[in-house]
Amino acid sequence: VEGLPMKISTYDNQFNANEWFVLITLVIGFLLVFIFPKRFPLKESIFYLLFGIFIGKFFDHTISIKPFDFYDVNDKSTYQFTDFFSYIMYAPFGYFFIYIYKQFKIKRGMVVPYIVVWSIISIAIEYFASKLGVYHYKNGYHILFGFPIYLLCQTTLLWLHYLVQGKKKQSVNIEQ
Amino acid sequence: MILTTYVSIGWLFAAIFWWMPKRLTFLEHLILWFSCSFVIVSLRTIFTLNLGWIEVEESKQLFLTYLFRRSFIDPMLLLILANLILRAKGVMWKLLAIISILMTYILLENGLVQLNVIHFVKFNYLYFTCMYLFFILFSLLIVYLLQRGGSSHEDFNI
Repeated sequence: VEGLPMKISTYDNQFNANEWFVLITLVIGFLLVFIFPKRFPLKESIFYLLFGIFIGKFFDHTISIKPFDFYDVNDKSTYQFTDFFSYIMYAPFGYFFIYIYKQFKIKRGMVVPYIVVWSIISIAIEYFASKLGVYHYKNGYHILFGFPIYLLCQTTLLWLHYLVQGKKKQSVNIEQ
Repeated sequence: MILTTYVSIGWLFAAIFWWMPKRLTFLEHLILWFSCSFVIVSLRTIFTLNLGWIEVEESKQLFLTYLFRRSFIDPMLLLILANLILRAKGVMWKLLAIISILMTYILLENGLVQLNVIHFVKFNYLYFTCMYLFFILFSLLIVYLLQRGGSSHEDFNI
């Protein structure tokens, strides 16, 4: 049909493991966000949640489309409704990355190991998700290629966190 | 050369944003950027990948130009617009700001079409204008919600 993409890969057409994984992770993630004691003001919490969604979306819609086309998400290579939820699913991860960092008062010297551990956990979760059919790698892409991306994203989030805190302090000083 | 041109244009908008007086806080700018980017990338993907109404050139340089336009210039212009709207006194100035940004979007898109970065298959400038009006309205909604949230102890300026 004119105007439609020439080649659409279909992996399955049923509501099965990958959809359940996305839904369960989404529900548990947001439940935990609401259950755990609040540590951040509302706008800051929204920002940490949005960061996860934005990063997932940005990379998926950059390296998973042509000319790179390294992987497909969920049942089809096109953008589906389940894909939308799979991006929302990333939100609690960004939030808890900063939450745990603050909660355990991670020292500067422990920042690098902290980011590396989170990146390893992220790869493990991605591996589990790929086994359930959330991600389908192609064109020579390997799951470990995502490791530096996780390192980069988590470092960026932590940097933005410090920037936000810095601006907050500046504002307080000006008011005083 | 195309990529260089668009990166230069992006730099120009970033410089304008950097120097313009701002009415939103640093955190509000981040929230606006991320939420608008999410919507822009989603809709653009639906029109290119799902519907096939727009074709993007697969050459690396042209694709990077498209990517830069989508991921940097588009949200940057929305940030500029949000600050312009908040500073503008009177409906006429607000409307003028919206029309100026919309015209900039159309010119940039026309540039991409003329330089063969993208091809309109079943798309036209009317659809394009509607899509970007939607982005603008969405960004204004976010600004409205952020402003309604009020300034509390977490609010701080750039």
